Amino acid sequence: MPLTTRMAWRNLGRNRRRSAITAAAVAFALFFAILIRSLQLGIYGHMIHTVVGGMAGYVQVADSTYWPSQNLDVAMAEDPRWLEAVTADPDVASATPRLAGFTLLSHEKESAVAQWTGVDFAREDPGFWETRLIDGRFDNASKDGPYPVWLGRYLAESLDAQIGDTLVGMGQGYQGSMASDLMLVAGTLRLGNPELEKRVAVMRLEDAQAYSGAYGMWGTVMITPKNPGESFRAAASLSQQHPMEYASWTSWEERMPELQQAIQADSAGGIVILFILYVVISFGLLGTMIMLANERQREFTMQIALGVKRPVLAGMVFTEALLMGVLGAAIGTAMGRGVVYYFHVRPLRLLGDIAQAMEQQGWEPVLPPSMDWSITWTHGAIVIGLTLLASLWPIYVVYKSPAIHR
Amino acid sequence: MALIELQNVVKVYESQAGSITAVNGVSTSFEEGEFTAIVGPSGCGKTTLLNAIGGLDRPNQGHIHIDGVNIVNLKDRDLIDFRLQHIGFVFQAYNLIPVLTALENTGFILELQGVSKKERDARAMELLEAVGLADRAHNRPNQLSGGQQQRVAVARALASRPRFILADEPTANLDSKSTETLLDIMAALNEKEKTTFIFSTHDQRVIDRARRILPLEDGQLKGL
Repeated sequence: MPLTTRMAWRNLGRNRRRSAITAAAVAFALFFAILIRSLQLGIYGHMIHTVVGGMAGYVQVADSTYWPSQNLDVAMAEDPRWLEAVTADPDVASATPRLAGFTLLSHEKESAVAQWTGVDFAREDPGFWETRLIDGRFDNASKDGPYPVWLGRYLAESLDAQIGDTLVGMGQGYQGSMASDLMLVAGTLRLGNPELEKRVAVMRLEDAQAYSGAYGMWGTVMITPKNPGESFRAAASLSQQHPMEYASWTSWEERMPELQQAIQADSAGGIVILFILYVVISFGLLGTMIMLANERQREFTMQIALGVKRPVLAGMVFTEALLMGVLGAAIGTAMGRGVVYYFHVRPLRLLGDIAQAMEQQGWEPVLPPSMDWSITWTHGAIVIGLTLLASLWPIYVVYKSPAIHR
Repeated sequence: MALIELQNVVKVYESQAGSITAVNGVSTSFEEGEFTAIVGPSGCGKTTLLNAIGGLDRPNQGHIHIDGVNIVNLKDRDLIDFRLQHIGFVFQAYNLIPVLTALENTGFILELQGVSKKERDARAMELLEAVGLADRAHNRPNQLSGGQQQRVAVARALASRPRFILADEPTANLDSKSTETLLDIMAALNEKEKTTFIFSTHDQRVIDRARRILPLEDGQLKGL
């Protein structure tokens, strides 16, 4: 082991309390950073996964005039060969057609505006829908009689509808036709977003086509890329590889800028809190480094007198700070990841006023943390960087130390 | 040519109370193999003179030639390197590195010079044997007595075979038995390794053992 590393390592044990305080400051900073950021990004991820992944699509293919009105009249003709080609693309995790429109639903004396959405359950991830089902079932819906419909839980509440109740639907159909029929409540859904739960009524795709008169038509095709974080790039590249006439390919960021802006605004708030945390921790680290420099000043002088070059001494102090930083970061990572994993398995669900406030903002009051390792690496690098920054003080003292102690 | 040659060395310290002339026009020389004591009362400028000879402090005037090199003109970085390669130091407070063992402390300068571990361990052990501490080679300074620490400091100073060793009041913190032991060791090493020793001291036991004595008074050398 080189001399500087050996001495730096052994120096950690000289003032164990100081080393422990420094490592603990790093560990707690990283612990809180991982916890706060994982919860924050986890909530965003959950929201994007439910709203975008489940309902709107990371990448969506629709007629070029479909957005923003989402008009049923510009639905596209089904193209199964094209859909198979897209599904088989190595960059695509799934591609599923949807057909959606707006209707008035009535149950006894209650009525509400709903967005009906036709879903091809055979092509979609069954796990996704099973986990969203609060009541009812998907597999026992009758092919005959009224169209089975699965309501968002708040929509079901506003209609005062239970499973097995019959609803009357009335709205605009495809290209001037009337969409009106009976529907049978087959289940209620928790979609992870209160706004969606107030308006969404899920139907089977073929039922939706029959209800609206849009036979053989798709409103949109939802594509989930293998890497959902690269939706923007995926939309551009897939549109080149699988062109469709009159269709436009959009990423969710383009279609839902308000969601992205809300996430960015909230994320900025979290970053400000972390910044304050880091400032406080930095002063703590600087304090321990000033202690270190004061304790060692005589030793620095003596070693310079013996012929130790200042860069060697500076390297030793730097290595010592690095070791304390890495040690603290390892402890902080273990603590942070441990707690985050616990909440990943058992997500926190908020109750009471906080839950209500979150729901009013369109957020589900559940806090599933993100397990993304990049949070740990990023904040680990920041806290180690802060430790090294604080070590600049003893390094400065090394460079200012004379060869004699007066 | 003398090993060390001082020409009209002057060192003045500025303080709030005014200027203090610690060394005032000292000119002398030291030959190889000397065992010399610079003596005088506290505050007479012994340590300042020793620091100037060792390149730890720059004089305000004068020249100090070591093997023909005027160290006064060396840049700070070059001076550190010069000390590392040519001068051994023994300090009053031992100044061993607390996290290194006696063996590692002894081989410290050699390690800085880039000597291989095998070679430096062999040299360090040879010197620890010479100072009677071979059995304490793996002890850290806090496990050694003051006298033992100073013996390790002497071994460290000798390890790289420097041109000379400067010892600033090396016995000031030692009891009489440790002082005698240390002086015996230094005298023996002076004989065996032909290393030049220059002490600053006001300890009569050291003065009695020195072969040359330079009395210093008010920063000036006086005749005996």
